[in-house]
Amino acid sequence: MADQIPHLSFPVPQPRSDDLNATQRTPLVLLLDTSASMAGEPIKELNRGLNQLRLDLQADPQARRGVEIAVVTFGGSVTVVNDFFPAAHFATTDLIAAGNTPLGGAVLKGLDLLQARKRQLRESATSYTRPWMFLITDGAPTDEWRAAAAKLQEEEERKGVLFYAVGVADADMALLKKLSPSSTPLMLQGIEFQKLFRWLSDSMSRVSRSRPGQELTLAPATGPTGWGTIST
Amino acid sequence: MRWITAGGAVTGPAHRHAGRSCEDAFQVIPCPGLLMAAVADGAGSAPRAADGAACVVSAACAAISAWQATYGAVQTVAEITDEVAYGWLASVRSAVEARALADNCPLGDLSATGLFLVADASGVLAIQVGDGGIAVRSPAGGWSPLTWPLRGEYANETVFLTSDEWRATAQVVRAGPCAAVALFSDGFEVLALNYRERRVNAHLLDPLADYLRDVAPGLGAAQADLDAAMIGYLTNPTFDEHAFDDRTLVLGCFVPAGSGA
Repeated sequence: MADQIPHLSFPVPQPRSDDLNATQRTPLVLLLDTSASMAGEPIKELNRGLNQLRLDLQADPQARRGVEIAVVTFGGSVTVVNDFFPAAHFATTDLIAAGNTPLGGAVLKGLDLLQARKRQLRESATSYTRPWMFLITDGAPTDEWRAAAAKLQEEEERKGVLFYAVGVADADMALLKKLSPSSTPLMLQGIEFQKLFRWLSDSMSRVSRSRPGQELTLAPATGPTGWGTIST
Repeated sequence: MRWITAGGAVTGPAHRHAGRSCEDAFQVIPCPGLLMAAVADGAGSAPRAADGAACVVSAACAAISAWQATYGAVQTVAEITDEVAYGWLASVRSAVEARALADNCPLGDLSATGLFLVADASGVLAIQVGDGGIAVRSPAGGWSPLTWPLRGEYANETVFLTSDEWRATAQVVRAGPCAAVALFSDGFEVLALNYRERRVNAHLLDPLADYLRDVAPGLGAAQADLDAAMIGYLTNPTFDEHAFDDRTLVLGCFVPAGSGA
């Protein structure tokens, strides 16, 4: 009997669907300037960039289930194009540039969408990471933006959202700084929307994998491999 | 009656992909009629997460063993006061602080959660800081959560024994006599608990506990064999799709003293 090793093997049942918890969510709100000044190459590149984001996220098995995207455009009016679609089902349509720049209204709409989504996620006991709000604009707001800035800052202070502002071409960078004094707005290099959206999908993939107590390292947004520059 | 246990800690897919090793730790102290167990999960952001987790389990086991050596003959688990339980937690925290001081590193470098349990024929005492969970199976069958994973608003936030909030957020929970216990870190918690319905997934734990209680003793397995089998169980690739973190599970069943080896 000596030295006989007993064969032990704990049973592994197939997981039951009612036992499985919902995938951890990573909400992303895109606030996109589609005002008339974006017409021509910028809007074309923005559309291509969005499509790149979709392809990249859908190619990542975890991000395609976990990242969910809301798209709000502001060009003439504030429009909700997508209201938190999982990346796997995110479809892009070509955005058209027209009208003025109601940036303040877009920020408020984005924050409202986020509040509603967080409530739904909490109610269904679905865990989520801190949402990202990503604003891209080439101009200056044509609507009242101070109330939006105040609400955004309040939300940032209570760590309700991580806000990033990106200026394109003639964007009012000083105003973007006022919108969110705690973050540094970046200027897009030329119309490198594809690079920007590749960085965004890579960042979202990393966030969707983040676990308790884990510090997140993102690829550099500026510098030789980045897409942005810090406006001085 | 005696406790038969199986415990294991394995690297989760998230750490495997990042080329990191398992940063969980566990320890079980067998003692006739009494089970003492500790599990810790080193924080992903802490440079010395694995050391922190190891320090937490060894300090917890030292504190609980000291109680057992002093009061074991005269006191049951049901008689352990909150003061004693918080005293164990305080001594674990002090041990981690002392380690940080000795190694000249910030306390946060050793961040880890802590889950401790003592159980005998009188009942169970569960103590937890952070995420992961402790569940018990009643003598009539049926699992219930004794503790629940502590999270912040966001999925990637919890409290550690090194956090300022360790005392305010600590869970110290008691239950009556039970047939089996399970302590697990967050990598197994996602499989073992149903967050929406706030229940234990009995479908997963029942076959495990039945096997440990009914089959394993008959095979004359040594503790090392039982623990090796638990590691084999936890590394099953079917778990990888739903659970990304390091996985630790300590399972204990209360069985008649004569059963098995």
